[in-house]
Amino acid sequence: MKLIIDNMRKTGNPVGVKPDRCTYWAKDLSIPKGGSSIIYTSCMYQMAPFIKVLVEQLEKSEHAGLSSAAMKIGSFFTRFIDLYSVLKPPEAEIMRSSLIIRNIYETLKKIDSSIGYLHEDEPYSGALLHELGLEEYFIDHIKKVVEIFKRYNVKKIYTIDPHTHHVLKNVYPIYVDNFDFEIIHYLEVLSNNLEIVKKSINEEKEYVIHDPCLLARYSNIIDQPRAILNKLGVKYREHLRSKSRTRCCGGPIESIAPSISGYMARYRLEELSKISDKIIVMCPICYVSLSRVADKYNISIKDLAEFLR
Amino acid sequence: MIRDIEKELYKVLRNEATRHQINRIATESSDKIWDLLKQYPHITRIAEEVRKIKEESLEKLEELIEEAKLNIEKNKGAVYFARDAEEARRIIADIIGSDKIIIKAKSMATEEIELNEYLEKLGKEVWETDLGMFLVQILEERPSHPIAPAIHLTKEMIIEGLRKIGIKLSIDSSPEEIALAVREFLRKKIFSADVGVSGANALAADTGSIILVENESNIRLVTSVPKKHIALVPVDKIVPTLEDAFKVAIVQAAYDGLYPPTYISVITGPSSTADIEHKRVYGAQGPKELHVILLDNGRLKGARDQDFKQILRCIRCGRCVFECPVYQTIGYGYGYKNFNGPMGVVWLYVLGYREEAGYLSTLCTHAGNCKEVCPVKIDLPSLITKIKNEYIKKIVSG
Repeated sequence: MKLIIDNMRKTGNPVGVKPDRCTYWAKDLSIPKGGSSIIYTSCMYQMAPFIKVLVEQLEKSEHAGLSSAAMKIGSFFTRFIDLYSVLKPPEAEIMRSSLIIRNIYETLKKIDSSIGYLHEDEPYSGALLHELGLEEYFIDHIKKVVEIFKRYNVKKIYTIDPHTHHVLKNVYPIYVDNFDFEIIHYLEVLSNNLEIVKKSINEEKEYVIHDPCLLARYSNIIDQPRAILNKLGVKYREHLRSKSRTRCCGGPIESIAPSISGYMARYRLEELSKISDKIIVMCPICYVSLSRVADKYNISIKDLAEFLR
Repeated sequence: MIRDIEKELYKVLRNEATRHQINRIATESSDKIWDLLKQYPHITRIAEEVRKIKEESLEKLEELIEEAKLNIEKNKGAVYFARDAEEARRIIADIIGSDKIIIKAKSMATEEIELNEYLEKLGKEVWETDLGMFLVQILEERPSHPIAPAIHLTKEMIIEGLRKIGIKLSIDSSPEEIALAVREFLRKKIFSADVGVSGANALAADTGSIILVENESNIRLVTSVPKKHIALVPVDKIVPTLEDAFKVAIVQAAYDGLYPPTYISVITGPSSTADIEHKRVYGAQGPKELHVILLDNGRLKGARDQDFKQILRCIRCGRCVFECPVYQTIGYGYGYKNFNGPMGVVWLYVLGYREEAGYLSTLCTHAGNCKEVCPVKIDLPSLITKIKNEYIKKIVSG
């Protein structure tokens, strides 16, 4: 366990993702490296297809034998690092992730033409360390992240997923003195520039929205995605348990307790499917959790960014 | 013990019917409370008052304890202070003395000190009278929720369990038939009991009165039929005035989904009459003796912890429990002893079950529903994160 964490600390990458997997989406886009404002992916959308395959593996091997949380965390990282290179998520999932980030980037570029990207120097936010309770390692890690941002003279950071947004916006400032970067989620940016959001869909079918907990409850990003969906022409209905009442997809404990996480996803999916069999998410982890179960039903899940043109 | 937690956890995980039932009841209850709060806007306002009342009370807890003691005695109640569970159990056993049959109102505090097990070891006959708690007792299960302890039990499990004590019901009995059978069974116990044991929803320092909220009317029987009434009251239940205590009761009832409550009882001293030549006589139709035991068990220490003192504002409504997505999925599998869900994790920690609280904290998904719905605005996710960080740090450092 110690060794694994030391390794993570040395490589600065806690989940052993090969850098080219993280930057793949930006190929051929000629995005300037660095700049005062950047899109910050933290490799979250890129990792999602791998996490999905991994969690399926973990769940299969999660036998009824009793193991401590520590063992589970340990084995999670070991497996992650060992398995990462051999995991083979479907190509379509990888393409989907890339498309989501490209859509977000292209849309942001219309609003901020000088938007940059750190490419292979983009650090991981450390969100997982924080969520697992490895707080000391998280604190160590984020110091390096902040150094990288400073080295590139970054002032404004566009986050694209809820986990990264939450730690940058709500947790980094607790530990980093004078954390004066402007942290803004792309949904906030878009909702402030609705004129660039164009109708992209002509579908009568109504979707149901699954709000990510970290956006709805921790960052009060609730009305923004709805305003964007309205402009996009996406029709939707609300579940009783949405907005500030939204219910967890199970994602955050998928590594600690894959089967509990799976049941959570199933209950959430079942209640959402009573409203519609088409679900909109705004988080790569929600997508992984819910789609893991949805594949067994006849339910389709789309990320909001898939509607962006 | 973590092994006990895991045992229960796997039991729930393996039982699909239980999981579905917990998910259904927890989410339905939660929805019902949202509607209720919309219907009665005054509750949210009073909840905000209660938050302030509790916050201020904690700052002068030791003063309030002294004031409460004085006023309980003034009203002819006996009052005791128990530093920990063991001391509380001993005091209660002394009061019970050679009496044999003990009936109980549902009380988290008595669960906390494991009173039933202790009294049974002393050869006493102990009966829970709240239907849910009675079932949990008969089936030797763990309570699922502070207000709704039996929600994980299916009707079949209940009917099966009742056979053990000679209540024979056909497998297709209705809830009405089950309730009636238990009522008849318990009435015999209640009217032959020597001692009634209850907790309290609040204790008013200025009058020494305890307040109890309920729907079943079993608390009224427990606190009035036997000759002795013992109330075990954790010190965090003490508020300055009787008015404050009523506010706590109202908020507690509403946030656990039972509003308006069927009964609120105020108990100040033993029953008495002065109808014979104006001479005050104790022991009219109700108990002749009232014993109030104030329980510390780590709370005074907790009240001095800058972060964790928040949890002492908790009025044990269990609102966060029903709203927690982990609890909605695995129910009492996300708990230990009588503590479940988000508030349970934090209470366990404050009461000294660090290991168990730590283990449970790793299952938290930081969804934040608990904080959103807490009537007294306890920042449960942050507290659970602190517990988790401490636990993981200990594990990592070997």
